[in-house]
Amino acid sequence: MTRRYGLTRGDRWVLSAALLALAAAWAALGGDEGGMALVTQEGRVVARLDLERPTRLTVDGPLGQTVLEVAEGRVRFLSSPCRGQLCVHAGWLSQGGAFVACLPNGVAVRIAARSERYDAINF
Amino acid sequence: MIRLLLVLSLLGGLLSCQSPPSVSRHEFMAFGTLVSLSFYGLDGEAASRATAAAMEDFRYLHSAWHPYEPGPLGRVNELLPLQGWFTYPPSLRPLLLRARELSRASGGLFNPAIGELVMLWGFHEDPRREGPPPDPKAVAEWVAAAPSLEDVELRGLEMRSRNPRVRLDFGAFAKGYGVDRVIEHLRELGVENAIVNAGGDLRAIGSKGGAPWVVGIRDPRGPGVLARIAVSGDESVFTSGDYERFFEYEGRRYHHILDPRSGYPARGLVSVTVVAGEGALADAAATALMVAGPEDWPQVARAMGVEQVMVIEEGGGIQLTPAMVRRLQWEKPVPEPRVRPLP
Amino acid sequence: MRSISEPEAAGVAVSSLDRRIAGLAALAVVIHLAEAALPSPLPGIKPGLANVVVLYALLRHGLQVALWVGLLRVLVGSLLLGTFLSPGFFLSLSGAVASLAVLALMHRLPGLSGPGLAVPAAMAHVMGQFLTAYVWFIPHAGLFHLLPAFLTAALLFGLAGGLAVNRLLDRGLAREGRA
Repeated sequence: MTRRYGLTRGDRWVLSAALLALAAAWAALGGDEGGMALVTQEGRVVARLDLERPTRLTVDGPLGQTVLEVAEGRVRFLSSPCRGQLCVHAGWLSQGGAFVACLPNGVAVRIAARSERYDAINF
Repeated sequence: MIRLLLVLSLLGGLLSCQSPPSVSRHEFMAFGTLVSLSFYGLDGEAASRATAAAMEDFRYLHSAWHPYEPGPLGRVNELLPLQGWFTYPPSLRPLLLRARELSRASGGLFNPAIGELVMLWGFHEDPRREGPPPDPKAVAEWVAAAPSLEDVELRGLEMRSRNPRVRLDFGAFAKGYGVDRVIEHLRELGVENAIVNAGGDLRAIGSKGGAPWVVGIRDPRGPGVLARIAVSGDESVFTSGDYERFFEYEGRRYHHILDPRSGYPARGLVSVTVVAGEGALADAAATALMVAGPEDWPQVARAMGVEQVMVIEEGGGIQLTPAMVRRLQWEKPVPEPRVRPLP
Repeated sequence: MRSISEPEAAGVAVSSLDRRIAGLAALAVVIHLAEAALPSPLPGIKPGLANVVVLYALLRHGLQVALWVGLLRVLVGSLLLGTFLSPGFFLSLSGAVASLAVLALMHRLPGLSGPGLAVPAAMAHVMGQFLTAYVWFIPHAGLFHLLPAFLTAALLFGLAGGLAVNRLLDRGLAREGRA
């Protein structure tokens, strides 16, 4: 068996295959790391927010403007024209499947991840 | 070489196990809340057909059962105070009968004849009009009149009330009853694996390709999820909480779960979560146990026939039935729960 | 290795194969213990030096010795660490079984030397552990988020370990050639 850099030709084949498998593993699962927030207004998707990109989004609803904030891989209702302010009090969302809605203004935010932690949230 | 291929295909097979399962989710507004449907293993066309059917059902039930808007139940509520016999819509009959059974089982703590009290508190309007809590004298008068479903007589498709203060409001279990009807309809359409989640209260049937559906129970006081529960087969998870609807007046907080014995919001508990097969039962029981309070809820749970209960006290303490202990997995640190065997 | 007392005295015939297995397994166990004692910068990621011994055993003495060494390492190591039948033991065992299975399948393939065997074995080790962890301990898809990082570490350490085995074997052959 002749070796170059300590590797036989067979070793190099196996190593290439292993690198390919590794690349596939990163590609298949790496996408999950940065979550995505799905913003809907009256059931229509109005925005998909990349949680890794800090930003603010204003959504218009029947009561006025709802402002969402994205920072550090999380999203929250920064302000809302509704009376209850439950959505604002809900705070930051980051887990896949997490969900908060402002019903009066019809704005809902759901964290979408490919492997969601929960199939449904009870409250 | 064949072995190498075998090994590599094995590796590939292991990796592909993690490809996303075929769960599709559909959301729409109905019943005054956000309804979310999850289907497993349903192709796009069947899923949108099922979603359309569910949406239509929910919207119809909402208008049919709305106590304070013109519609079948609204009309019944106009006629009840007159105390004479009148014909009521046949679609209300099964709802009335089930509500009466559940109300009796709960010892009247789940009371669908509570509509007038709800109006006194202003919770019939969404959002509630700003203002103080009702005049204590008015509340006391309502409590003295003690309207209940026992005051309502049914004779075939005719009904009458012997108590002029009866006003029907099925709010405390209409969601559960509605979810049950929609699940029934979905099954007729051939849907076997689904979750119907109406604003956080849900019924799940079947499974996710053999794996159970995973439901997160939100922490009623903090952010995130308190515990998770795996459900499969056919189970409902319903939570009643003081955070769902409330108002604040002069520094005091008043929530919408009213105790028919006092006429005031139930005290002592933040939330009650009930797991049961039937959505209507889980929904009514969650309300009745909220009203029963932190000491007496186990008796009411036993009387209503629910065994899996979690209650959260105002102080943050957690109480569980033994059957619930086995079901929950905590998702955050919690104080040692108090286990309450049912009597 | 010669200094090990002769167990014939106990009335059991000990073959040279047994002695080889015992010696290599002892070495693997010591490395296993040393790795368990050393803190790792990344939790759960270890260089897997004990597997170098297993691979050496395979290439020098054949599959039978390697299987013994690999399984004894896990068993004795866990007994000494006090983790026998604990979750850690089963993780360790499933990793060892998976990597030994891959070695058993691949060691007869022509043209492979240390790295060509060590890399798939190390990756199989990680996969075996993850599968056990998923099925028995943490049935949560989020677990697999960690898999690519662990596989990458497995590839690097497998490569290094494989090269090390090549050098060990080369030296051994050279020494035998001199003798």
